[in-house]
Amino acid sequence: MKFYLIFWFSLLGITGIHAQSTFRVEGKTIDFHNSSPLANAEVRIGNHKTVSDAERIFVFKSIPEGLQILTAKHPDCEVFTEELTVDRPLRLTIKLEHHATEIEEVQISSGHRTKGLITVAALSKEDISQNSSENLGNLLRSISGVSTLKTGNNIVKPVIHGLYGSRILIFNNGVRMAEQEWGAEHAPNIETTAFNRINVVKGAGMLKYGGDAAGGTVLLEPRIFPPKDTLTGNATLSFISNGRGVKTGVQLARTWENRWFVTAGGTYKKLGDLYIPHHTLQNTGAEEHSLNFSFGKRSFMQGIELSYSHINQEFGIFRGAHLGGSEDFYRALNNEKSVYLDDFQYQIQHPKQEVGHHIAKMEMYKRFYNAGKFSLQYAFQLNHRKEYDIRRGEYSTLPSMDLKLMTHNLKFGHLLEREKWQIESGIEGNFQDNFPDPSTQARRLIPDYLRYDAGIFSVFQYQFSDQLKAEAGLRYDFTQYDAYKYYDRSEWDQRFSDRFPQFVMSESGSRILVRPQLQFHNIVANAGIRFTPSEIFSGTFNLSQTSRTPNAAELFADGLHHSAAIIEKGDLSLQQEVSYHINLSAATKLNILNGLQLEVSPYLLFSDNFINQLPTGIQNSNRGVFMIWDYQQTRARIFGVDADLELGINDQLTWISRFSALRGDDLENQEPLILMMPANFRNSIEWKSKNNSRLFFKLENETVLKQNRFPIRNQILDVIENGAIVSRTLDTSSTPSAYSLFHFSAGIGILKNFNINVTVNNLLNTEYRDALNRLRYFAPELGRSLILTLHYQF
Amino acid sequence: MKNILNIAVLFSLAFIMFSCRGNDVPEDIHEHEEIEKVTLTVTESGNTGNVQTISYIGGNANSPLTLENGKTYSVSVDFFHKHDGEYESMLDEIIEEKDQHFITYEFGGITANLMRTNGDVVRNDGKKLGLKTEWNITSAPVLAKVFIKLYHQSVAVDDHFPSASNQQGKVTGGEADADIKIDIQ
Repeated sequence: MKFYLIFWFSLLGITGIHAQSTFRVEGKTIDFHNSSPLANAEVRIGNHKTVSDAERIFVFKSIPEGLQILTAKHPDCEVFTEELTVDRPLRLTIKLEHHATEIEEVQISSGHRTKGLITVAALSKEDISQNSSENLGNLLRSISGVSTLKTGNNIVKPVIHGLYGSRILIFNNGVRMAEQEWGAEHAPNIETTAFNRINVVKGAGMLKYGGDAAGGTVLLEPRIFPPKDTLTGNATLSFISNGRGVKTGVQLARTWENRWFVTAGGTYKKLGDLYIPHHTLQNTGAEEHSLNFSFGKRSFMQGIELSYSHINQEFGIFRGAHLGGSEDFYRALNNEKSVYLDDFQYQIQHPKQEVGHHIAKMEMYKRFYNAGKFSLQYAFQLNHRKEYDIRRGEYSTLPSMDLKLMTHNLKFGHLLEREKWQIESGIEGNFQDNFPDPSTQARRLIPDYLRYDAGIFSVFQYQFSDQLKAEAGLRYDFTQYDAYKYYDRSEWDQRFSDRFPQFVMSESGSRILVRPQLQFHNIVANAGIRFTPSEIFSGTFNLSQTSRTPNAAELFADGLHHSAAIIEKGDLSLQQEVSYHINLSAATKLNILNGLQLEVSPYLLFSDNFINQLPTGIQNSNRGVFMIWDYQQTRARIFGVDADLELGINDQLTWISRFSALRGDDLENQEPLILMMPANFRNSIEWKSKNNSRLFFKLENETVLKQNRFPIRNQILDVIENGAIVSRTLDTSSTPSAYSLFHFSAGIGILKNFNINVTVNNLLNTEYRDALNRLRYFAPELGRSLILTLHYQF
Repeated sequence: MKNILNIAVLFSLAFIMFSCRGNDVPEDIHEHEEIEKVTLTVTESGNTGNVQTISYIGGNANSPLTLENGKTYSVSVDFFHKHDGEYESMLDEIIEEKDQHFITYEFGGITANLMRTNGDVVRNDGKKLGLKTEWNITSAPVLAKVFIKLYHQSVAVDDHFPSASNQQGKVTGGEADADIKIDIQ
């Protein structure tokens, strides 16, 4: 924090040379970046001291001539000291760097806060370290309105307000993750413990991050370092009973007073087969390692940062969930229990996923008085995903899918702030290269393609008063796909030949090569207001239009998705998905007991061309019958509500309650939308000690109701029973029963730097199935798990 | 600061230069492990001139199978993949990995006793694979079908199911790499 002095000389009616020994020094104190006046700044010149008044003016009537020491202090600034030559009357303008935003970032703990006009749910460093063994999806599940879409229990994707995949943007230290997120069984490749805080924006409204965030945005933010010459860090070791596993990690930061920093860290996690009540599931282990490194300098006026992170993950897929076709599915569902149980192992065999993700980033910014802050960022990502199925013969060691996705992103931003308004603008370009390696000898589910994106946006905020703030934003994005794709000639002739003859390149036997070059234009807008009439009430209202280019799977998927045992069919004719959003939030703080905070947030989404993947039919093959899942566009509506309550019962005991419910409808097909989150409650009681022991206890209940609204898209199969051929329904639509779980956690601090936490998930070892687990048909969810975490902070 | 900026620019250029692959035309992939055709050769016992060959391609049989009440048939099954546009038998591969494979038979709308013959391939666990079988038909077909499945990597197999004298077969676990249904008339 620096003080900048601008000297402005005026005669003040005193002329000529006069042998006076004191001079009048006066001036004003203002905020550097928005020029707003700052009151109550203490200004000292020599032995003379004064405070800037309500008009932010300070006056020294007589300062002795000569070299003086000027110091200035403000509640949110560091003390500044500079030499001042007093040889005439002086009028000074002292510009103070008011780090309110940064301080807010550091001080905010869990719960909700408002970032601009958007309500943000935050997980603090404490939340993250207490759940250091969890993946991102499970970590976010504690937030109202957020659920998880799972494939087994290691592969977990966040779902916000019923939306997931390409509709959720995940930012890793300012870099938008590019990681084949279209796949329902593709988890985010993130190590959560490298971050200081995770902010979740539920719903649309943050168009500066992207115009396609219909579901929301997850922002993983690293630590902000104070300007100190020191070495800090932490080390964590967790023992996890479910999976008989371990996770360890170290994070170090060396900082200097001149704001240079170097950080480095890494984690390792190993789990064996996972435990369900009374059994273990074969081949459900996991192994992960990650590392991160950064260096740079971040001061208020300018900064540069270079960073690199890498994560490598290997997930076993439950052996009992690997199927041939629908007949295998029927056989598996009608067995009382799976045969692939017990016989615990750490070794991960096929079927499995191996994913590696690299991110390298360079970021620079500089602030100019009056011109604002300019920033430039370049990021490179490489995502390498291999999926291994049970294959035959010489192919048994080869993956069924081997995708390399390279992404380059360059963005330029500008932030201009004034006392009552700010305008933030940006322009960015993105280039992506997807390469499905043919050495798999398995037909490509997703083809070779290049993708080009360009976007420009501007967001304007205006503070009418302390009670009323408004925002409006506009964004335009352009996307072009350039793909090479092989189709069966019969498929091409049936579905696309009349609409896209211009894409045909060549034909050979029963196969046809096409080169779809598709362009999309997306216009995104949002407007909102935040109204805070008193300290006990605030409300926000936000209207948005998002527009999303279809992802590669929605456009190009074609063929058997082995791991899911379904045939997926994309559609080249899909248009951009435009949706309209209304988000409301009303929050109140009342003096009940030790303080009550209540927030209720209803929301509505409507789209005329919502892209939905649904079973639409069956296809006979030599492997049997497979369900066909088509990507279609339909009219859809989702509305719901999140409610959060926090009641301080006394200064040690707190009750936290969260509730979420939503309803999703396919208005065209007159049926519920698929994979919608059931209504759920989460209640916890937490006790914290008042002394320095950091002792706490927390008991939590998680109740999820049965999802009674789902599209019925079952399959009829011919099976033989007692020598007769009968038709039976393969019911993959029905949802499991409601369930209620208890979780317990406790922790204590030992000495100044050491913490021990114990967490028991599913305390009563309840057997249950979750509607959003794609493998729920084959096995229940995890049983009891005890996690002991040792955490050392220095 | 200037040196760091220079390094940063070089860093970025290096990534851009070495990470662009270009948009080369990819070659098509022909899946050799997929079972593109299954054939069933059915010879009436005592009447070797009565041979039916059923080809099952793309989920459909080229014709129904004719089986008469009171007659016995020798049946062999073969599996084919495609290589350079031609069908090639996968029998050698299946026999080489015999312990990972097992064939089951189910009859609906017709009563048949099935035996795995002495000419059949025997796995190392003593169970017969099911490539060569003998079907004794004991009823007339009524809207009948036979389901034949080639299982891969089953946890356990039973070649005496439902009985030692009717060896249609049963598996626990594994995946069906071929699952065909043939009409019987």
